[in-house]
Amino acid sequence: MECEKVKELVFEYSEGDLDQGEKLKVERHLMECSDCNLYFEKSHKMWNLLSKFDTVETKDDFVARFWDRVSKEDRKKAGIFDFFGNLRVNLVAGLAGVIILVLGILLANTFVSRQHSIVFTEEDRADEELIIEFDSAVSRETDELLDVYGAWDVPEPPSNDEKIDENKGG
Amino acid sequence: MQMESDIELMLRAKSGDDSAFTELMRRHYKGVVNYIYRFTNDKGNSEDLAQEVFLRVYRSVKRYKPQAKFSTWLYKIATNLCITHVRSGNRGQNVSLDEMQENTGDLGDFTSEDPSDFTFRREIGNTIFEALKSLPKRERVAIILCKYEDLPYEEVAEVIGCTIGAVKTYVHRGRMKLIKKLKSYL
Repeated sequence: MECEKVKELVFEYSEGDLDQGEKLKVERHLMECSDCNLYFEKSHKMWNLLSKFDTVETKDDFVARFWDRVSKEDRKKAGIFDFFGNLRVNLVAGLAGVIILVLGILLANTFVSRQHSIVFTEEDRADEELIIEFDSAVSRETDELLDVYGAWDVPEPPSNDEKIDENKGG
Repeated sequence: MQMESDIELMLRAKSGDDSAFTELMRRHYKGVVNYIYRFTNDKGNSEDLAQEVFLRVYRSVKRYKPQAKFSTWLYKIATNLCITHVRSGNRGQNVSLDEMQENTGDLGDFTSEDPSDFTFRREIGNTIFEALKSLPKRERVAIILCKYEDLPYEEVAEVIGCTIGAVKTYVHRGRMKLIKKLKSYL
């Protein structure tokens, strides 16, 4: 058996996986070939050395944490699916909300407009006209009175001395 | 009473029995956590990644067909996840002494008087990880699964997606390279 072939079989040999015929061939070769024998020893040591790679001490709640995670993810998914599942209901509700809002705005506008139009009712207009008419009448009368003296030629009232002279003379 | 096989449990899980899936997890989670740890050298994230592996299995349980062994499927998913994790830049970290003491119970006897024992184990652990990491992916997976998870060649071949002969070659080549890389310890 060639060295290369023996080296290939060394692992299976050390694991006891070779059939009797191959096992004998490998053993015979290892006794005769110091190079392969050295390789066998090193290979064996190296394989044992790998066992020194430490292990992780797992926590006891691994399984419980797993189910927690599953239920959290399920809830999250359910939330999303609920929203999309009720999309029609959500849309109708949203639309109704918008309609109510628009109607509310319209009603509010109408109410405000009515409040403004109260000032300009026919009765108020008649009252306003009456007041204007009354004002005009007063102005006319005042003008007629002032006509006696002339528009802006109003005589000054007599002083006190003049009043005394008049009394002496009278 | 005979213990249910993984496939039987998986079929029960498929029909909606979560207790069957719990049993499957109990059987395999330690192996998966350690497999991930040896692949990534990331002690802090190994459990989280293992949870992710089981989550993927759980989410695809309805599509399960009992063609391959459950463990093969499990390690295949774990391998893919590890490769993605390592590729995404979350490479193995050098764990601090405190973290190691906190997270493991198998890194040496911390109550012993000899702190050099612990230091040696930490050093050798990192060296082994670096040596394994330097191997081509298939050789690395083949060696980790054969050495640490005791998977037979047939299963390793299914995980990697190659023939049994190819697995033997990967293990042989990997061993030769490891002998060179770890010669100072031999």
